[in-house]
Amino acid sequence: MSRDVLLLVDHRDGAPEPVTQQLVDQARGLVGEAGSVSALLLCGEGSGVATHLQGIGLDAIQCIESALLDVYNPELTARLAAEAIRRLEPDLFLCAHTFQGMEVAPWVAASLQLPLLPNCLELRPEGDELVAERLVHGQAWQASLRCSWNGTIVASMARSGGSSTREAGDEETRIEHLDIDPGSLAVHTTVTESIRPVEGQVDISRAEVVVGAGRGVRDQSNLAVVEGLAKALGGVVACSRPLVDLEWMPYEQQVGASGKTIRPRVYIACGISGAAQHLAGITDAGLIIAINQDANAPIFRVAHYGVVADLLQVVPELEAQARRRRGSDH
Amino acid sequence: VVSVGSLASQDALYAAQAKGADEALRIDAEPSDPLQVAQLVAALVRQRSYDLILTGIESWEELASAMGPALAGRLDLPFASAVCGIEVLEEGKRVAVTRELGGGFFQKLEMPLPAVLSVQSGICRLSYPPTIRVLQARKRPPKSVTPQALGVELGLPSARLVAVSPPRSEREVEIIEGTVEEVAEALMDRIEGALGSS
Repeated sequence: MSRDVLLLVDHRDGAPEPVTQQLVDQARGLVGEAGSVSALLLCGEGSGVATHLQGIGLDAIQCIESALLDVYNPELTARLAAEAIRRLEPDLFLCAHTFQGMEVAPWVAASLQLPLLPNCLELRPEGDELVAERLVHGQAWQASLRCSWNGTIVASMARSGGSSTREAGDEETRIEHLDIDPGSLAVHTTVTESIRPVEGQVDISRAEVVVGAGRGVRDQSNLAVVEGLAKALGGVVACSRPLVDLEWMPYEQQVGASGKTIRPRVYIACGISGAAQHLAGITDAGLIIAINQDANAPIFRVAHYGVVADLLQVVPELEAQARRRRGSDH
Repeated sequence: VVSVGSLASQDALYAAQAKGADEALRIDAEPSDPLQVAQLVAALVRQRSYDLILTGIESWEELASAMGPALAGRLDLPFASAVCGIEVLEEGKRVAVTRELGGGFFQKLEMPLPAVLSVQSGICRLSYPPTIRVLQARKRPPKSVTPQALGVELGLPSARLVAVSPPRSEREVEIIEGTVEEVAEALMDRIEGALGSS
C-alpha cells in the first residue's frame, strides 16, 4: 500500500528551518519511493521559502501564500493546517517538534479528532500500524507505541541531528497552490510584535568551541569559572535552560530545543545533566566532553569523553592547561 | 485548579490550595494519551465556563507539549504555547501574550478570552507557602469527579504501549579518571586533537 505524508514547513526569514531536511528524509524512509511526500508551506507572498524546498526530496509543495502569513500566527496556522488535512487526507501529517510543531500538531489532532504521536525519535510502518519510538518517564526509558493506521495520524519528530545521506537532486518539485483563503477563516489571534534576538558579541551557533554551563555550577558567581575556560580555548559560553530561567544567562546563549542549535568542533558540557531539551541542540557538535558529578546523567549517553567530578575542581585546572599550551594570546 | 489522575496526584492539588487556589478538583481517570486528558478537561471547562485556562508547557515525564494546545483544539479556542508573559486587557475581555519562538526569538500576540495558554518554565518565581498554609490546605481534600459525571466516555488512546527499553546511547562514552591534573591533560589532548594544530 502506498502512503502519503504531508509535512508542515517551519520557516523563518524566508528560509525553512534546517530540521526540514530531516523531516523529508524521515518521511521518505517511512513511505519509500512508492509513497509520496509533500510539504505544506504557509508563507507570505514572495517569501522565497519555496525555492529552498527544491531538490530536497519532496514530491510536491502544497502552498498557501498570503500577506496574513508574513509572520507566524499559531491559531491561523493551526486552522489552515486542519483545513489542508481535511482536503488532502494524508496518511500522516508530520511536524518537527519545534515551537511551531509542538503546538500546531496537538491542536490539529484534537480539533479533527485524529491520533497524535508527539516528540517521536522514530516512526516506522509495521503492517497496518505505525510504530513510534519516544522517550518517556523523564528520558529514563524508550517506549515503542503502536497506532493503528487507517486514517490520518498526526506526529511530531524530535530533532535528531546528523547530516542527510541524500544527494542534492536537481529535479523540480511542483508547487500546487491550495485554494484555501486564510482571510475566510475565523481567526481571533493577532500578532502585534515580532521580537528578534539581541545580537551581541556572543554568537554560540557559529563558535568553534562552546563551553556549556548547567545547573551544576550551583551559584551565579561560579559562571566565571566556565567563562575562564571558554576564554582560554578561544570559545564562548552557552547554557542550558535552568540558567535562563534563573536569569543568570540571556536567552541568546541558551542551547536546546527552546534555544539555539550549535555545531562547534568542541562542546564541553559543565554541570549539565542532559535533558532531552538540551540534547536537541547539540546533536551536530563534533567532540562532546561532559563534566558532571552524576555518573548516570543522560549527557553521558551522547558524550565522547566524560569526567565524573565536580566541575569546580576540573574546569579551573583545564583552563590553566589550556593557557599553558595555547600561549598567552588567548 | 484541576488535575487528571489517581489519588496519587492529590499532592499537587494540596500544594495548589496552599498557594492560594480557591478550589481544587481531580478528574478521576488515568489516561496516558494527552488527547484524552484534554478531552476530559475540555468537558469540565464546557460545564463550568472559564475565561483563561493555563497549563504547563510540558510534563517532565513525557515532554509531549501536547495537552494545552490539544485542549484549545477540542474547545476551538485561540491558544499559545511557551508563554512567558501574560497581561489581561479590557477588563478581562482580551489578553496580551508574550511567547518564545526559540533561539531568542519572541512574539507578542493578542487574543480574546476564553483562551488556552501553556506557560514556559521561568514565567515567574516559584513561591513557597508557609507551613501553616500547607497544613490548612491538607484539611480540604480536593473534590473528585468521574469522567461519567462529565459526560465523557474515553475511547481508545492514540497508541498502545508495546515495549519499553533503556534509551539508546549515541555512543559508548569513555570516562577519564585520575588526578585533576591527569584529567585536564587528557582532556586537553582530545580538545587539541579535535581542533587540529593551529
